Amino acid sequence: MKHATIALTAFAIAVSSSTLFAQRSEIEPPLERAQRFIEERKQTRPRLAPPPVGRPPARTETPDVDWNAARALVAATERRRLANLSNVTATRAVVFERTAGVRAATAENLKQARAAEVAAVAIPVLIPDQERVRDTVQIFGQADAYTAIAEVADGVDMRMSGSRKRLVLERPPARREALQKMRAARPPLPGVDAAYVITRSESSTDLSFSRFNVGYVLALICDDPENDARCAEDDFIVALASSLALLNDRGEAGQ
Amino acid sequence: MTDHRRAQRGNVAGKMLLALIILAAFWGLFYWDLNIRDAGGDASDAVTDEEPGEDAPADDPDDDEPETPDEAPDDAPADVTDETGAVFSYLPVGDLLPESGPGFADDTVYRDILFPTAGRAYLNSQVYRYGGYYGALNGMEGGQCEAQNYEYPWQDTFCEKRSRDQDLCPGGGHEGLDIRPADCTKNAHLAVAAEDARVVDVRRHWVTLQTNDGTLYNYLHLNMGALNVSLGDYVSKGDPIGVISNDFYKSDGTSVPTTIHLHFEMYENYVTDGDDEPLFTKVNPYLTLVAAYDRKLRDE
Repeated sequence: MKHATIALTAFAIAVSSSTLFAQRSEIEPPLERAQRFIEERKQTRPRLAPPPVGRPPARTETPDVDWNAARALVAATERRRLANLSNVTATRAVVFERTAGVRAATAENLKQARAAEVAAVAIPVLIPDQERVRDTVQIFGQADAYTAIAEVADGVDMRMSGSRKRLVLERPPARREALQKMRAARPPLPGVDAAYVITRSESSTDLSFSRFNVGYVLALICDDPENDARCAEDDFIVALASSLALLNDRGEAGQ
Repeated sequence: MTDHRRAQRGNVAGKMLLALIILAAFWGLFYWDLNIRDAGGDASDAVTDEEPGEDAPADDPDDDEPETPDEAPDDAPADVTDETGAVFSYLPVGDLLPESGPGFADDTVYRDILFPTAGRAYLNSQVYRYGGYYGALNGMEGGQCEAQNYEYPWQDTFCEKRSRDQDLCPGGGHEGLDIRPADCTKNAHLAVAAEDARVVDVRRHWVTLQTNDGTLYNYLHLNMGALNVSLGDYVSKGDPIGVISNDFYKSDGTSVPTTIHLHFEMYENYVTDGDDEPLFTKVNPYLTLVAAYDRKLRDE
């Protein structure tokens, strides 16, 4: 009797352990797990009376460009530049860093850009104010948008785009709100006084900011983005975006 | 005699006990082997230690016969189907494959665009499925031409895991969507303009279009030696841009292996209600593409 009890206990243990390990079978092989995930989540589009796919933006806005702010920024930059010059004494050699801010320039002085492309644009056309950029920049203008492409240095190219049109999102994804908070937490671009964010992807390192009611994105394209500090770290792109040239002043014409 | 019987019963019970313990141990080992080892828990660590190098096809597509989706079942007509009769299906935005990254759930349909490729298309991962560097993480071992890569449902790959950990995709880094054409034949399927636009950048392995109100589209991995467009061109919606290939170059001209696909990126300038400072950044075009494909299948 005693041995029968032991045998029954052992049987119970065996059954329990089998059950326990059977529960472990819920950790599925990876392919089955992926297939089950896909099967459970997939959805189709009914042929008749289909519901909308996602949500469109609440509205699209095309605000007026604040050309007065653009002119004021150019004037403030010029005042700072002159103030820096006045600090130079005849007996002291000073090596300047370029004054942060936005300087007025004309497309006619650019080697590869066509002035007509800039003239076609009704928003402030900004490009990095840097010698290699000025020598190589090409501009493609459309009324409410433009893109400029140029070499920046050996191994680094850039693309800068501007757009006046903006989509208004009623309920943006949580991560976009997080991105906006990150932008608010950074100090603004020196001299340009604009909050910004930096994102990186396989095609470029992007610095996005807005000014004068226009959205801008400066994309840096490095030969070796993972290992080139100019793309992998923030300093280079922030410096580039902090010293800009304004190629047009459409003022009344652009409104 | 009684003692002998007791001893015999004891022996029988002892043997039963031993057999049951062996049985339990066998069950344990069997399930351990089946479920724990095959779950590949160790393999996931490799993701954080190694860089995928974007995409790495495990076979040569030129040697493979293109696969086509299964025929549509008889009861399909209730849902939208493609020209082969296959029911179009897709996973919700942000639902990436297991082990493949955080995703970016964004239910915005940003614009009414034309789907940027001609013919059938399949949105899914180039890295975490058949033919991808990390396909084994989901048990998807094989070449890029596996038929399962050319079937619905679609799946989002925005913010799929790469080595870049940055503000828009923490723990992610893939800021675009990968679109396989109808089959894995190289240089056979057209990429087309999603909207009326201007060609504002052509470099290395991508082409950038900008609409006249500012939206930007990047088309990557076209055959750059046989583009249909040049820098500065104006294109109309539906115009061919080039053929989908696997061009992927470093600036020194060396080639990086990747699958036959179009990597599609979209930039929008947007604000949230109550904020007057727009952000001009990449956005997740997944549902924009779902809506465009749905319209395409309906011939709208």
